[in-house]
Amino acid sequence: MTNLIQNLGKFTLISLSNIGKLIFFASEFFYWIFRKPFFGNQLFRQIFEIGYLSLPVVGLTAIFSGMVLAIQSYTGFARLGAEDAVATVVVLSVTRELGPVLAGLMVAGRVGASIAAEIGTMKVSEQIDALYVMSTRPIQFLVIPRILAGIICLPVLVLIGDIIGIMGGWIIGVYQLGFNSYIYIDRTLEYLELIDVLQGLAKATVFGFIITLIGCFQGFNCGQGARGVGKATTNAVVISSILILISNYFITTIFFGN
Amino acid sequence: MKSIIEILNLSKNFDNKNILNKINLKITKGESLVIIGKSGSGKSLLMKCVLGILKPSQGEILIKNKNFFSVKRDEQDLILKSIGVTFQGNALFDSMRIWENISFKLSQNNFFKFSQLKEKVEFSLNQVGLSNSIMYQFPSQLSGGMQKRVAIARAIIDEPEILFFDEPTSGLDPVTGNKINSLIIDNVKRLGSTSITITHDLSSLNKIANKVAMINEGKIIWYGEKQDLKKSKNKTLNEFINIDSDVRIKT
Repeated sequence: MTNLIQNLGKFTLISLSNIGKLIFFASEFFYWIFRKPFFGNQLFRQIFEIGYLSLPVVGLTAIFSGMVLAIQSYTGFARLGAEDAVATVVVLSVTRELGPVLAGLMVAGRVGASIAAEIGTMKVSEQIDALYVMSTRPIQFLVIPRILAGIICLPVLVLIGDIIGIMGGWIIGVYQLGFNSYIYIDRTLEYLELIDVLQGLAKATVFGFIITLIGCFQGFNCGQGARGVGKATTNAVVISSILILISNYFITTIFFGN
Repeated sequence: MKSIIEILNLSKNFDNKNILNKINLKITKGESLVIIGKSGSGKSLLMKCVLGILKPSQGEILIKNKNFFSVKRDEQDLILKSIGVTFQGNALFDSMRIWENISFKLSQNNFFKFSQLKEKVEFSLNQVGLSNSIMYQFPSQLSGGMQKRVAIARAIIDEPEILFFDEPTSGLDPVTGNKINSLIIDNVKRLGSTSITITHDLSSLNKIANKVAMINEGKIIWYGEKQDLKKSKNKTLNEFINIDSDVRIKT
């Protein structure tokens, strides 16, 4: 019993200490983002790495999600005689939830892990120390370009994912379920409001921040050796995925809670 | 003689464990100090404290008469600009090409045209005996010895006043290690820099040093001229410097 309480206490203290470190790390980002020098070339490199190279993953996830959603909602709504609602369900589900959340989780797996592994390896091989002694602040060179790229790229990826996901639904609706193409598109646009898309993009911005912040934080705080880097990579994916799901709830509540 | 680096009562603790214990050391301008000691004795930790990478638990570090940890970050940057460092594992940036690695410090702190940077990189590569043809390669495409040379080229590109070499011959065969030692001597002499070399390699000690300090269990246990090493009666030092003759192949 004493051991259990001790372990619980230890876990609580470590967790609180890590939360404190993360808040401090995030505040450093906001402090240094407005200070020179700004590494524009690093930002473009990260936009390519995080945005462009994530397109296939996000695109594939989106198209198959849209297709599955169309089939599932059709079979479900057919019991109620509401098959006409398929296009509306697909577009609202994709723009509000599936687009941002699935893109966020896929990017967390691809980019969050890669950031943590790259920065973690740089830490254990003294490359971060080398940056420091060459009068370059690691936070400005490594962290700010990555977080900014995450904030910029995720909404763009989600927007592209939304379009591909809706197209996936349309392909199934028209070529498998026998909907008229014109009517399907009309139903898609009829109930879609700007707030649905904007809410998805707001989520994507927050997810982009979370994924890159956690990836950088885990990289900077990784332990020694290959084991330390491996652990940091796993933590980056797990923590950012959990935070994406938690923040998704709160953002949805802010937009549609009433 | 005017000291360029002064370490006063420096201590560093980790988890209440005393790793460096009241280190005092004066390094004069133009000196070539070699810090020796067993693995885990605190040599690299001392270097990291002097460079400001780690904050000491106690004590002061004066570099060019400025207390590194009490001046503003801009002044720290100015101090760091006068220092060149090669790390134990070279610490070359994997994602950058060789020319980007070598010119990194110059490109961050000054406004140079590409042609000027290229010229400086070529000069620096020549100083360490490397051909310009490797400029567009990545560090992973080079051998350990070549990476070491690139690390030295990066450290000397802006002709720093102070040079730090952390285990410059570690992981290298004796022939390549000897060449690296010669490169260090040649470049330190050419630049007129003060050098601090951390090593447990006795051939580096013999070749590079004019002053020697030995660290054991976080304390400086011996400091003096290289020629006085043999006269020392310190048991730990004698054990360390005589091990070489014990393992030498007898014919």
